[in-house]
Amino acid sequence: MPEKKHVILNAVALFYLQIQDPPKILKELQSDIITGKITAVIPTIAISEILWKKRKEGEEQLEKLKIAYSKWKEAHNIIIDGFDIKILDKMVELKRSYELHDEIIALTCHKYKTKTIYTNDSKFKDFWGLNPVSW
Amino acid sequence: MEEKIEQKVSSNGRIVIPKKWREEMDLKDGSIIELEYEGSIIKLKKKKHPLEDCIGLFEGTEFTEEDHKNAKKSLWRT
Repeated sequence: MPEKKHVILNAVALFYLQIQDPPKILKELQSDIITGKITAVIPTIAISEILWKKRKEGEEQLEKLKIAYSKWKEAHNIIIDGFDIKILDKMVELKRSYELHDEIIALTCHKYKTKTIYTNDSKFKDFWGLNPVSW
Repeated sequence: MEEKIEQKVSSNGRIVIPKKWREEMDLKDGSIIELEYEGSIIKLKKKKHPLEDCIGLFEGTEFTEEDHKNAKKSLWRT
């Protein structure tokens, strides 16, 4: 059986997965994760960014984030992955410095041998020809 | 309304769920089902992906590119 395609999600893309009618590309992403066509990799840093905003919005929104977080953890076809030594091993090989946050996200793509990242940030093209999917 | 059909089971136990029922249950290629065996009855239901429980959870709120930028900034601010 061919290995399933991995894609990386940034925080904004991840947020939209919890919306009933997101932009078409993200609606397809929702469906592809649910049916198992792809495996979505969520960097822990992306979750922390949504958490940061939800906490500011109050207790009710924070509780919703907690529910979503527990569902992401139990979901097949979703991997939550953190900044670790494998990423650091790649990071020390970089010849120039990018924004640290972007380095971690881009190197997560590298770790999962994928070029596909769901983000509206075109800067990611600068990282070894990553393929940012925007909406 | 209860609907019934009869089917012959193949040698390895396969049966076909009628197209109409698949559509009504939103069963697609890759969907996962749960089978429950109760004596002489087998119940089949679509296993809900946890992400399906999340859809609509953040409705009415937003996380804009600007919010993302601010969250990123706060990560490294001391």
